[in-house]
Amino acid sequence: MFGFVVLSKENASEEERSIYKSHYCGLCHVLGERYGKKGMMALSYDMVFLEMLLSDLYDEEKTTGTETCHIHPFKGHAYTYTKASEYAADMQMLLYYYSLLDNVHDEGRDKKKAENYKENVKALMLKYPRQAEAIKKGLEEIERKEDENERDASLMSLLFGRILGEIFVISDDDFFSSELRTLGCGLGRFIYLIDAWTDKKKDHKKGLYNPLDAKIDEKQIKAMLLDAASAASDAFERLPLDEYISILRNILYSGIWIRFKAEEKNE
Amino acid sequence: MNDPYVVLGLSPNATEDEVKKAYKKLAKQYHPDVTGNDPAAAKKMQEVNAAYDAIINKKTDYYQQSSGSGYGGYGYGGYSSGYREESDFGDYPNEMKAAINYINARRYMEALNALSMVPFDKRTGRWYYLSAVAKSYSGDTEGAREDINTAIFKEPGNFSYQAFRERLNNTRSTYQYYQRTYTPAGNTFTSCCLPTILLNLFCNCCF
Repeated sequence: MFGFVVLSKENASEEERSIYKSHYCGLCHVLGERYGKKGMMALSYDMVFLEMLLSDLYDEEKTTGTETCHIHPFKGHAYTYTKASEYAADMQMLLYYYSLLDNVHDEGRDKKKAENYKENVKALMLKYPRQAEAIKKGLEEIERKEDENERDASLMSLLFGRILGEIFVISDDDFFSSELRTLGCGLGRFIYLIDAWTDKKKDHKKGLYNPLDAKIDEKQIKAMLLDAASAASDAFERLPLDEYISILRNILYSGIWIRFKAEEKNE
Repeated sequence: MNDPYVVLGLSPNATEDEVKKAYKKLAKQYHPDVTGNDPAAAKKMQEVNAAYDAIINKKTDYYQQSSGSGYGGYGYGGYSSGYREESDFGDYPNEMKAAINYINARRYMEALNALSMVPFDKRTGRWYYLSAVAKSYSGDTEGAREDINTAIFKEPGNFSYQAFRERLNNTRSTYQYYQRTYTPAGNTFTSCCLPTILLNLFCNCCF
């Protein structure tokens, strides 16, 4: 949805980069297979993190292959997917649909596009009632608070964090559900805040809602981001991960800050 | 209770990453998909889970050892927080008792829900402490920090509240410690993002 949760390329080895890329392509592959072109359109890097996390945690069996696609029409590329890719793809569809609805609400665009996903979303709501409800209710509440011009950015980011927390939990009965929920929540808070930060100037100029006040400076936002990121990593480090741990750590400790640093440079 | 390292087949000086690896291996071995619904395997899996808890807990919470007896001594409540609320509930409101049970079962969202039903005038230092614990372990570290400060303000002499605040603050230093092993990112916008941009362009054309 936002594309903030990415690998820091400069901190990754050649091998790590290609594993990461093949999971990205795997998720795209699964989205395409399950939902066609409109599925691939929903693709974002954020869900690759979730997919690799869950694949590692539950030791999911991998399916690999090589194919060409719209982005790489001539050169074949490797893809890897697992059962977790299917889950991540479904969650991506739900999130994407509601982000379209948000666009309809905020800016009056994407109405037709959203219509296109309605049937799929209906089925997904039956399949994942807990997650779907968390997304629907959570985003509705965020929307309501935006309309009221809520000024508490921590509260707003927590609302989004709660949504991502539910998405990170495949099954509530799982032994690690609590860590996954916390990790998702911290990451969600981070995503919401960094999104608000990168859009701040634009939003203020256009008179659009932004939870951050104009006077909030880089030091303050950095402290808020750090708090959210450490909530996520505290839970992350308790999970028994091994296969992709270096890639996931790269994303969590370095990759998620890329856009913040880019913004810093532009100042 | 067996030594958790023995349960995982490790030496006591195994690294945290080795513990994770060993856990994964055993979890695979005793997974219901492999063993059917064999009760012995399920029991073994519980043991492995408890051992994993115990080790990871010890490494991240130095100040407090979870206590308990017999099986489940490494209780869920003690898992992520090193914290297990006493079972002597005293004259707490029912909602507080429920919250304590939820926290011990690591159901933090439910705990928060129960706590929210305690009327404002009944919110003691303990209430704020429990709220801080539940908030922290459900990802709301900022809210947790506020609540633990209130708890300490109400009961300045309580060491477990202070220890909990310490732990909350440590989380950030731990993050920064890990972070330092990476080159500050973002000198160039990672070209990994390019496909997304292209994909979006592409797809926008067809819709």
